[in-house]
Amino acid sequence: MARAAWKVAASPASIRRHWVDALARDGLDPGRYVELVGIVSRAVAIDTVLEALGLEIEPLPQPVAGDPSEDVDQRAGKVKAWVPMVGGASITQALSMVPAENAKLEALHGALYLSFEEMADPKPGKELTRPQMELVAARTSAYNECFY
Amino acid sequence: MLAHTGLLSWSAQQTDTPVDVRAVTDPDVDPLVPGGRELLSFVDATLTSGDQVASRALDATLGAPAVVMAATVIGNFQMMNRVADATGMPVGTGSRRRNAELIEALGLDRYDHLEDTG
Repeated sequence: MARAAWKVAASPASIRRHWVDALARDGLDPGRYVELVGIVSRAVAIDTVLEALGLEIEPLPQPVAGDPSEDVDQRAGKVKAWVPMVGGASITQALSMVPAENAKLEALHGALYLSFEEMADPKPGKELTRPQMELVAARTSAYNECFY
Repeated sequence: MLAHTGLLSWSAQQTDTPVDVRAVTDPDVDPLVPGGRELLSFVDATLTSGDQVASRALDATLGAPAVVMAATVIGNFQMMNRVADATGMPVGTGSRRRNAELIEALGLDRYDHLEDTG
């Protein structure tokens, strides 16, 4: 699990389907993998914002006792992606197999950039114009070698 | 990158903003977007050296609220890029077709590592 977390955090462009399938064979089933992807990607996002603003990285929270909910959306099924999703392969549904993870993704996306609904608005009235935001988004994606 | 390079082009058109999208992958190209060079330098500094020189230059050009927004947008795409790559999010054939010129002009195919999506 630690190796998987490292790869998602530090080398996402090197991830391939056979690696994700191998994780599942080794016990990291799709639900747990989706949760890992959600947690790691949000942590990277928050660390990046703090680093960009010259602030100290926040320590990770203390673990809390209790069992994981293991709440998985049973409607999630095979799609043209590597993990099951609800309603087809879509970036807004990427973590939908684990509803809590998809909800957190959507909430942070809205706080840091635009809500999913605002995505269609060329003039969302933020501190940067939409072209300025998209220039930043595209360059960040170029650094991450993310074709999507 | 394809999605947001496309959104860069679309939003520039919608807002009558000049843009040269080649700047996304070519550091020698002026993006033409107001404050564009400073924004790109800020992204570069954040994701490489971490020095604050680019932050100060962006602050001087677009103001402190713009620096904060740029920082959060970078953070968001650090997240979304990982989600897309780790889940094998495919780029549809329709999107590829619509953006064929963009893909060719910027050489974006070299980033396509989702060949085994399906």
